[in-house]
Amino acid sequence: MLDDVPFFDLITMAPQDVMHVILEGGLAHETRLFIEHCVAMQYFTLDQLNTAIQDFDYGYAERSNRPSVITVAHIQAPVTTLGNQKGAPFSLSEYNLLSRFNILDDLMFFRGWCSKKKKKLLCVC
Amino acid sequence: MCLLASQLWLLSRVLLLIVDQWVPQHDLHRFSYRLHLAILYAALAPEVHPQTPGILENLIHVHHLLFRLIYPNVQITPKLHYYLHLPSILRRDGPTRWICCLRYEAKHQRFKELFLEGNHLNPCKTLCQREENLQALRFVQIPGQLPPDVLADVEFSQLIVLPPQHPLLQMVLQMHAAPLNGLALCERATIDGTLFKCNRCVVRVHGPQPEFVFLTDIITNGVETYFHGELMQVIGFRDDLQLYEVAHTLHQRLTHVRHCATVQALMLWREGNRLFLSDRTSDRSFF
Repeated sequence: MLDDVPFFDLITMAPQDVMHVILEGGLAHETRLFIEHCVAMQYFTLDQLNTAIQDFDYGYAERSNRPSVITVAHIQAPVTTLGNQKGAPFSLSEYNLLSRFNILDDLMFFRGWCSKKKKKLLCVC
Repeated sequence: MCLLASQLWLLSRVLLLIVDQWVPQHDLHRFSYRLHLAILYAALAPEVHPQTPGILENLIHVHHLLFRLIYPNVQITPKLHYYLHLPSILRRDGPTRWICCLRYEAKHQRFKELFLEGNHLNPCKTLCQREENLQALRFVQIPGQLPPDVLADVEFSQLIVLPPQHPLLQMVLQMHAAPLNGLALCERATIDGTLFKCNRCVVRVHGPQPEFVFLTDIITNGVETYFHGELMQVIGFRDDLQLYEVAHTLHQRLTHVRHCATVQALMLWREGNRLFLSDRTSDRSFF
């Protein structure tokens, strides 16, 4: 539908956003996995980590962004309930299948944008 | 992780420094996290080097392979695939930092608060009008001057009017061709919404090599502002922490605000006797 809108190129007008893709997406995911791994390997406990995070001197510029306490429930949460992540994850077999037929991008785009903006898109078009 | 994006940004930058004493260097999970952090720095750099997209492609490729290797049972999310498009966006649109939603969503927060307490007949007009009034109040009170909150900071901090023969004044006059009136020292100043404090923060100076100045004086007359302080010696970029290790020196440096590369007041993070800087413009650390 959006392809038919004149003077609007869907690819160039809707670039990826670092905040939603990295900070609230992959990095949040990997931070959780990394802490979970370190706790499992007994490098440190969550109490030690939380104490170190709270006691660290970040400076006045970062005072308002001080991370909150990380609990066991946070690092053991299933993937689908992470942060603000909206799209449901693909399994590995599904990922391989989709990427083989080069339709992964279209499906990602559909899930990421259209499902969220469905009502608005319908109103526009 | 139930953290806000800005909280996670801070945590990710400082996490490797915090866990450095516990997690061994050869841990593959740590290496993967380090790669991820390098990707984040490249994506959030204010300036992009022409070689950065190519390097970023390799970084993302290696990271995803490693991620699959060390987390074989973890499901892949769509967000990880979106990473593959970042290099092409960097080439086409420039630094992705300036199209990031972080500040826009924070700004949007204020409109949402106003909307709840305002009238609902014509919300667009009401919100725009209130925002315009607020901006006008900030900028129009003293025409031709900095916004009042900047002046308030300058006025409320300790002001020392410089005598004509003061060495700092002579240095400023050498840099600035036209004579400047009313120069004074202050301990803190808000410039473009960022608060700079003397003896607390570091700024980065434009140049091919990273140069950091630890602020000791801020010289201003309300229009032109200069930073004066110690030049920090860069010992090296700690790749395992993704931080610059620096040390104090006795060299002095005077620079105009326009020549500072950073838009943030960088904080010195200390671990034992060592000092670290998390520079968000560390694009050149790849090379």
